[in-house]
Amino acid sequence: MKKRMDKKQKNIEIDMRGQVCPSTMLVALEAINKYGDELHGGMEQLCILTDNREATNTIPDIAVNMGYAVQVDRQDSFYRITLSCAE
Amino acid sequence: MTKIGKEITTWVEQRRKNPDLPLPKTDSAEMQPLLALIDELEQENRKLRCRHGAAISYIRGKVDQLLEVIGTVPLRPEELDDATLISLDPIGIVSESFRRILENSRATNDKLHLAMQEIKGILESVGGGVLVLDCHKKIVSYNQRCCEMMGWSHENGTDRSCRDFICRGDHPQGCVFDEMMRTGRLTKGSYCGGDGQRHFDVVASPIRDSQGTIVRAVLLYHDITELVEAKAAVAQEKERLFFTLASIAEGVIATNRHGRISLMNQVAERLTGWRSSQALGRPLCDVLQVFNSEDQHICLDILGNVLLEEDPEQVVGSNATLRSRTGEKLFFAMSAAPILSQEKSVAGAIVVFRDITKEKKLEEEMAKSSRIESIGQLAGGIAHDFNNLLTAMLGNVSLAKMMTDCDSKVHQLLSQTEKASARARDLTQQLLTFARGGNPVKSLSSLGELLKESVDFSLSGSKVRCELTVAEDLWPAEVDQGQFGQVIQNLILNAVQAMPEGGLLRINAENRSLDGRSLVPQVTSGNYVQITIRDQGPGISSQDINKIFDPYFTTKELGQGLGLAICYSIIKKHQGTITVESEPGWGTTFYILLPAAGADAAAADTAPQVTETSAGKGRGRVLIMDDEEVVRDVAAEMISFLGYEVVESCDGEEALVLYAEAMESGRPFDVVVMDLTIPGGMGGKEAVQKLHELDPAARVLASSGYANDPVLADFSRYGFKGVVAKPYGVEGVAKAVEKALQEQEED
Repeated sequence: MKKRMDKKQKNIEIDMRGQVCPSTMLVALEAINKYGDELHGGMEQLCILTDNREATNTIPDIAVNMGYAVQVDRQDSFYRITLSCAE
Repeated sequence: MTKIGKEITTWVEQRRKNPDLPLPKTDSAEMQPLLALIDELEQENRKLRCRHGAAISYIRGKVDQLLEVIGTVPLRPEELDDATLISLDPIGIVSESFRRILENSRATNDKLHLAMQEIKGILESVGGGVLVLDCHKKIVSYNQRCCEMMGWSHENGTDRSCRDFICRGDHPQGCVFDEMMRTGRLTKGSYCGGDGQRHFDVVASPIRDSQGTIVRAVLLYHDITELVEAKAAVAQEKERLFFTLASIAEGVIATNRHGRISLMNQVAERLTGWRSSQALGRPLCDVLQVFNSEDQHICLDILGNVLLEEDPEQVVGSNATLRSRTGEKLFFAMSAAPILSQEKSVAGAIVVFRDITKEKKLEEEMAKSSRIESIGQLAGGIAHDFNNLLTAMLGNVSLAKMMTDCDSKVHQLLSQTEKASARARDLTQQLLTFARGGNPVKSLSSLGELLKESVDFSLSGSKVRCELTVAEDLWPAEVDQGQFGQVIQNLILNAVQAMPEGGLLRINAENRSLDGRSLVPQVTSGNYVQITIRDQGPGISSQDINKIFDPYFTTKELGQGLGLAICYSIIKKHQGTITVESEPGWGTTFYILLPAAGADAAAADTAPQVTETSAGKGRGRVLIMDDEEVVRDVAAEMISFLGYEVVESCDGEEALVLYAEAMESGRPFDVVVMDLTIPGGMGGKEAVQKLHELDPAARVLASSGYANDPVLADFSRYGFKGVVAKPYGVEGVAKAVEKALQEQEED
């Protein structure tokens, strides 16, 4: 999936490293719900930092069903899941 | 606190630890209701706690259920206490997420609906027929155009195999669907349907599921029947054009708009020396090598100025030549025309050219002939006048000769004068034959005599020796003596010129009987006299030998190239042939074949002159008609001398009057001698007709200074009994008149 990133876009980062499912999922969903409209509007993009490998499957699945574009990038010791407005 | 108060408080605390602890025993009546109320509240509180625990458990269960639905693990009890669970509100979070999922699904459904409508629109508006098949060739869907193309009714429905509706039960070789399934890629093919009447292009593209398996195929059909038919028509047209171009006599070259060759036919290949395969793509100028009259190479700008010319035939000057790749030069005529595209712009040019070398030569020959013709007319006129004068001379000389003693010197001198006059007559004849050809005036002749005369005449003063061998029994032949002499003289002259240092010339005359198997071309079977003339000259090259009878062909610097052409023409007119055999270094031999006269003509005119003419023996009346007074006078003199009674007239009208008067008076003319040509008056040809109207039995002799006049050659057809060709002497006229009178008696 392609990540949309224009200059005016605001980046919101949620660091959930150290947390495991299902709380990771619930926190992520809460954030998505909170910023959902802005994400859809393309004004913001949401970055979730997690070291929980399972979350790299579950969060993208549900985010795609909500209509967001998702990208998972592996960092040194964690994953960056980026949600943005689908094209 | 009172004692009772302390007891109650202690009881309540104990009761919390032990719900079955009975009420304390108290004597106070006042305390009893209070304790009962506490007990009631205690029990209600326990119930409520129990319900709260169940509610929390339920919530945890539902939260776990929701978490499972969204794909994650259940909550661990130690993870969140009840209060945190409630404050976190996972159900609210998940339901809000579901709302968003539903919203997205709705939006996706709307898009999907729109997309389906779009696909439907595309399917119906696309030019081709669209057929969707599942992986087992079952029809999933199709558009209206597909129905029309295949001639289906709408009842065909789906869920049936395409074999039933397209291949009609046959399993075609090279099925596009099968090929697509095999390769897994977009596949193109063709299909011929409608009982072979319709042609289709088919493109099959695979549709894969999310696992990449081909589950369906979209087949797009395009009806290309018109294209196929147009291609066939173009191919047919191309073939027709090819055969047309191959069969026409002109060279044809087509160029593109840059002047480069795009097509050329076989004649163009032959004329330019270029093969089509080598010439294609080259500039026209390279292949069509044109040189102007100054022999400078010129490059034709066919696509430029040339196409603007109003008369495309004038593309090249009349003296321009074309030089082939092998260096051969030829005169040519060329026309060029633009090839216009549909937008009327010049797409190229078509150049048509032909070899006009022969026509050009013919034109030159015609020009020569025309010059010769005018010389001929002049020569004819001179010859006519000459003959008239010669008639006077020859007549008078022959008369004078008869009036003298045969042995006298005067007689001898007169004889020589007569001979010279005869020679002058022959020269006049040659002049006429040279200039105008003319039909031979044939008479039965002994060719041996004629050959001898010609040889003597032609070889006088030359270094060439001649061996003339004439068969003793040589058949006579009907020839024009003057023309025959000219043939022999020409051939001898050529031989003499071929042997400037002298040599031997062998001339043979012999009889030949040819049957149908003879190898002599253009000769019918029969009896012939063959004359062979063989010289010891250098011979003729094989290159020239086929051309030597062509007019104006000569190898001599000052030659006209007419001598052998005249020989050929004369012999032809005698129904004979003239052929040549030669080899360089071995001399040249000419063979002449002339038809021999029949056996009844055996008495040849071996002595054309009357050997004995008796003065004064003639009896009868003769009417002379001639416009020339000198001729008239000498003729009258000669005929009188022979003993006839002569009356003179100067033209046809006068002759007719005199003839009519003579008939009326009872003293008709026995013979009339008429000149054929009377300038400004009625000539013999017309007068003889009118005379026969007056007297059908009239005997008329034709006389003319134009010795090759066609009337003389075929006199009886014009109504004449005989001919007295000018110039004539006493013998000539005597013989003709006597012959006419003889026939009169026989009649």
